[in-house]
Amino acid sequence: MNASPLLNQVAFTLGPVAVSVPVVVTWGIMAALAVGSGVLTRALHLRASRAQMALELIVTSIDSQIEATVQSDAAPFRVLVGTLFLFVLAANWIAVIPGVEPPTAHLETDAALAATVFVATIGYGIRANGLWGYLRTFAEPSWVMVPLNLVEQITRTLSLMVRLFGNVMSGVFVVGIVLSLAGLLVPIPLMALDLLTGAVQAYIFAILATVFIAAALGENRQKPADTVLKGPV
Amino acid sequence: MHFDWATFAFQLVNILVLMWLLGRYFFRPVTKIIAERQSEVDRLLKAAEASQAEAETARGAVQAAREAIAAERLKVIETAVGEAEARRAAMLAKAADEAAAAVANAQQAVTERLEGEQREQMGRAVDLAILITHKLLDELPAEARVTGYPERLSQVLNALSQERRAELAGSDGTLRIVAPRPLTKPETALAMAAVGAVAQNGALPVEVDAGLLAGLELRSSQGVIHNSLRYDLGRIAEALVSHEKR
Amino acid sequence: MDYLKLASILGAAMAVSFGAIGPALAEGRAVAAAMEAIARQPEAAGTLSRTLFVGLAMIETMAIYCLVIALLLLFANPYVQ
Repeated sequence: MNASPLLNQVAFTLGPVAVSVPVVVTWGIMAALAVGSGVLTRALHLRASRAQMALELIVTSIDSQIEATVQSDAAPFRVLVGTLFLFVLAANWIAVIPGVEPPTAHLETDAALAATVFVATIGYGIRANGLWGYLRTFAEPSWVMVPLNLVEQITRTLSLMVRLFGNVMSGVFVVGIVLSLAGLLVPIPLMALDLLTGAVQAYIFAILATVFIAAALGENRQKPADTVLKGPV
Repeated sequence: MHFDWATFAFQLVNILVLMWLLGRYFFRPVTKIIAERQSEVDRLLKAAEASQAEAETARGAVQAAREAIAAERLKVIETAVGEAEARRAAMLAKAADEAAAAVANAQQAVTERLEGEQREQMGRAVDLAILITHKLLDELPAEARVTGYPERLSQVLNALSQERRAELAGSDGTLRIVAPRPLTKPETALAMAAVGAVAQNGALPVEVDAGLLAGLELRSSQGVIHNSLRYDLGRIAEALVSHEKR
Repeated sequence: MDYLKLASILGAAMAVSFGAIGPALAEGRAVAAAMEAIARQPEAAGTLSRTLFVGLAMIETMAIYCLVIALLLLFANPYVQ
């Protein structure tokens, strides 16, 4: 373990801009997802094939999770939340390919994901309540809470970022340490555990994004069950 | 602490592009096909419900028809039973009538035969009595056949009403005396005296009829004054018969 | 300079060790409660175990934070050049 896990290796340089390895891996994941979905959704039928049923199951379960959290129609949030979930899942699971590090094991990718959620939360909140109405939600239940609410916005985004980064990076780090200490096949159980952790973290990331959006939509839509899933901020 | 802002910018753009890609090629078609299937299922369900309602209606109609048939059958059976009952009653009555008629016929036939036998017997008895009397009278003197009868005849004639006597007297020509044997002179005189009440012009013709056995009768087209042993025997037999019948 | 390195290593070790205590106790409590709930209501095992996994991941995040701090101390310490 010579290299810091926090450092990015540069894959190649594009003029003055250095393109790092995680970006290349992300491009690969994007290409695979886009091509795969394009091929699978080319011939959809009312009488579903096995693959189509799997696709529909993914979409309907994402929808049901969103609806259970937001308490309204899932259509406006489906693309954002679904893409976050699928990308984080694919990025976490790409570690099964030898020699490929998950892009989410690097802070920049997680920061980009968290920033997307942060901007989307504000956007949905303004669209649902108007600019003034959204700003007023920071003063609830009283104006004393305004600084706390503002800090919460920042800290929960940071925690979203660091949670994903820490989980995936620690998994990669542990696998690397065990591989360097013990040998070739020993870290396989740890990699299996990483798969589970990766799936759970993808689910948590998507659910937390949904919870933040639901909270931004307004107090009347927020349910006590959502606050339970908010977690540490 | 090292944060690579270029990678951050790349990943931000990557995520937005991936969002567009997946929304365009994954979520939109799959959502569309799910909605299509939903509407198809709704349509099929509606059609199924409609056809089920139709089947329900048809079943109701069949049920009603079946009930109507059952009611009809019950009615037919009742009618048939009633008819059979009536026919049976009629047949029974007819048979009873016929039996009664047969019994009555048989009774009448028996009675008739009995009566006929009786009458025959009586007739035979009367014949026997006539025969016996004939034999007995043959052994008696010839006077015995007439003696006493002219007096009796005159008594009968006197007992007759005036109109009857006039009728007898009015039957001119046919009025005559009937005797069992040719009368002697004194006997003729006695007879003439006896019928004097009805004889207009004295003498009446005298006829002989051995069947009388004994007696003296007056006959005409208007009627007969019976006054003979033969007639008495007949009357006795008749009286005996009627007595027996009672 | 040596004291700074030593302090960083000690800080990293303490962060991971003490930071693991709280999440360990919390995970134990959560799993115990989930087991009890599943024993009481076996038909709700699916929902319970899903919620349990999510909750465990949440709790684990605390330990992960500590690990991140430790890694920062070890590999990205701004005071150790």
